[in-house]
Amino acid sequence: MAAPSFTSMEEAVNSPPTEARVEPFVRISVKRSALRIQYDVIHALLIRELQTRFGKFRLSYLWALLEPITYVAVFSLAKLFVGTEISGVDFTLFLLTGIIPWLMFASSMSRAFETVGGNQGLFMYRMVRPFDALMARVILEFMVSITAYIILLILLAWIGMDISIEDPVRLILLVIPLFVFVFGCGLLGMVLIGINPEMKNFIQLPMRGMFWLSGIFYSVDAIPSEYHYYLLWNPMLHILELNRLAFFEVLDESVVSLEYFCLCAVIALWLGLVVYRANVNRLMTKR
Amino acid sequence: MISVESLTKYFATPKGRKYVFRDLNFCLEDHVNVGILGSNGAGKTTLINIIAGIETPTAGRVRTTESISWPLGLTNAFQGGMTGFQSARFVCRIHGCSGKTLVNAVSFVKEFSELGNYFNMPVSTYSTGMRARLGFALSMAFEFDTLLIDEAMAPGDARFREKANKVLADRRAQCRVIMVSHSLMELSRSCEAGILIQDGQARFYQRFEDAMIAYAGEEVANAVRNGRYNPDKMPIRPNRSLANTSN
Repeated sequence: MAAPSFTSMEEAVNSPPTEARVEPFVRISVKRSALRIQYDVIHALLIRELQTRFGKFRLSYLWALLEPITYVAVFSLAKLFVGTEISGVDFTLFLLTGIIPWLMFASSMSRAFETVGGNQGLFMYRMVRPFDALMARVILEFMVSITAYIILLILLAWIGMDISIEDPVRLILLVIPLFVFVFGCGLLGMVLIGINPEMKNFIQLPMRGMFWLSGIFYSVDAIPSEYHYYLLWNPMLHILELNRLAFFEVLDESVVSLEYFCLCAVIALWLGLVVYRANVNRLMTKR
Repeated sequence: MISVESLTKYFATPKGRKYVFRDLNFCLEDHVNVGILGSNGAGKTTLINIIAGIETPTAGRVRTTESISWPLGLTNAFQGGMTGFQSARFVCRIHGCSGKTLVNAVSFVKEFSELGNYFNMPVSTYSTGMRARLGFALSMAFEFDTLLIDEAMAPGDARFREKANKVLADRRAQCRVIMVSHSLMELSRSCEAGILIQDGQARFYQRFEDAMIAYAGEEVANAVRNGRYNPDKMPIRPNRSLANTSN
């Protein structure tokens, strides 16, 4: 296509205001409060994320369900060959309650890494910041995962599995510290990778390890207690187990602690915000 | 009113700090148009971006109660995966407009940009000219107090330019313009005040002509004033002695 040609503004300056004036449609209100602007921006970004996430492929809604299903299927298969029974616990449900919170964390993280690059053009508008872009992404990721969670639980109930939840309120409230934790970690990852793309490898490596150490397919009870001291530093192990405790009464409640996870969440958020505040300008101007 | 208070900006480079400007102060009354002068790479875009709020100064601040546009120019403010339609709606939303106003604004953008079917295709499939047309149409849907114009405006073919220039002239009657351009003729016609960025210093001039003299010398300034300036025949030789005297 033809190269663009840009002319001087001379004609614009010289020509008198035309008779049929084109009125602007939007009068910018400078009186919006800071919170209102934040809301408007995150709302707009959320819609933008929805469009790019689900607008591209025809089956994209299905993929959101297929990812946890695949994990459950693969590990159920593995379970056929090795593994022990926990009495009173259905293994499919057990896997599902492990994999969903893990995916909330892991896929939010991998999306966080691409947040700056994927929104660079939009930072030309002063109200749009990497913070808002990440917030929109994590919110969307949570919405998708929670929807998948509900659908898959209903599906399990439909095929005759007992999915009675012991403590539904607690289950719902767990989303809050998990969100804080994921957002804090995402912020940290986004900024570090924004500064130095090589950091991606350093962050992904421990995340690979965490996948095996977070108790997705085993309960904390199954870990010999002499290793508890080392493994219980992992906050994801706590939240996964806490999530399960809402379903299964039989599991031992004493080893994991919600307080510890909340503390980790607050520390992650604090660290993320500090690193973000110190480096946000570098993220925005890198083009 | 826009007031710039002891604005300093440097970039940290391996060879030390590279200053764009130090301790820049000025205050713009309403309807004072400003032209920013400086050779390539002097930091004109940096200053525009700082006023636009997308780059932060090293020190100092810009204070205003006005609404300021995003920098309109060649760098595109779109994300490739979004369609023109989605981009238009996005920009409306972040500026706090919704409902009927949003629908009207978007249909204005669609009509004005003349993108036709391309309006519903990803921006990444657009040519540079089409992107510029979308950006221009979008910026004209809003009524800002200050328009920031980085390099040339009014994109597209001759017919579109004519239409664009008319709208732009209308807008300029109502708002202030802060602009960067390589065309001295254009700047001197539209600007009352000037800023010259040179040698890591920026200076504000109440009269644009003074900035032009400091930038290009008396001879060029006279030619511009008489409307006979031809940049090919009369290259700009910065007038250092004048640039360093106070205005």
